[in-house]
Amino acid sequence: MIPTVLKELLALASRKRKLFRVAGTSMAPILEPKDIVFIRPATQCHKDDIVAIRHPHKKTILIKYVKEIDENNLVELSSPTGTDSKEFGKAALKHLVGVATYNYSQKKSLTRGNNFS
Amino acid sequence: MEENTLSKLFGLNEIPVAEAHCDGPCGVYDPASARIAAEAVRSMTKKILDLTPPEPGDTQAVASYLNTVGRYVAIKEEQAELAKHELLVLWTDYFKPVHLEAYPDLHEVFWNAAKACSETKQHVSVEAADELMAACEKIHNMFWESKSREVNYYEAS
Repeated sequence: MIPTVLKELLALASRKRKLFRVAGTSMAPILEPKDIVFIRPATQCHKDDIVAIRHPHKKTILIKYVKEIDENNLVELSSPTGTDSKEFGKAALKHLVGVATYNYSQKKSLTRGNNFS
Repeated sequence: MEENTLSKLFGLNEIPVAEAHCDGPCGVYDPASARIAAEAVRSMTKKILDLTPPEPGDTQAVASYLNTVGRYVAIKEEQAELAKHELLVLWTDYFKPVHLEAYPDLHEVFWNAAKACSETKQHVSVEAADELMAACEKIHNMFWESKSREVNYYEAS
């Protein structure tokens, strides 16, 4: 069985993953500041996914949990601590960068079922 | 494999940042910040208009006058920009689509307030400064009402 880290590195090598560095503590402990996260580029996401998505009002990229996707393709984001969609509103699904698959720094899978929500 | 190795191996010059932090002070907003800056703009505007230009031949008095005007204008410019920034933070970060139901003119109020900030920079106008203060009061009332809190509007000066 191929270890997850190797699978992710192969996916990165074949440009099926992007890397992001986490800033801030709102997703702790699953994502700590400075953690390196593998993101699978995607146009769809699901409840409880951890996603990288453009901030609804700024040019920055957020990394948060998906709480819900409404019928207008607006994504409600949540985080264990800190601000989320309750404060800054929902983000558009078309601004989704991708779905987090692996926390390289903690060597932990981030796919649904492997992270808390 | 360390991060540096990872970057070198995959030709990643700089790994972009994904923000998991708060938008600044977690949920702490107060229109008072904009109001204080707006008050400074109005104060500087009045001070500029109250200055009496010296006689042209009095070199020292002219230099002193220009220095004072320069300082007042610089403060007015800076505080108007700060007021605009504080207003935009409230507009884009605090207020949400749901608030439009209660305040259908919300966008217009903020748009006019931001424009009033620019007016106060472009001109030395008490009317523009008063317009900005009126917008700050309106935003104060909308903001605290949206939080179901009674906070009386006041001015420091």
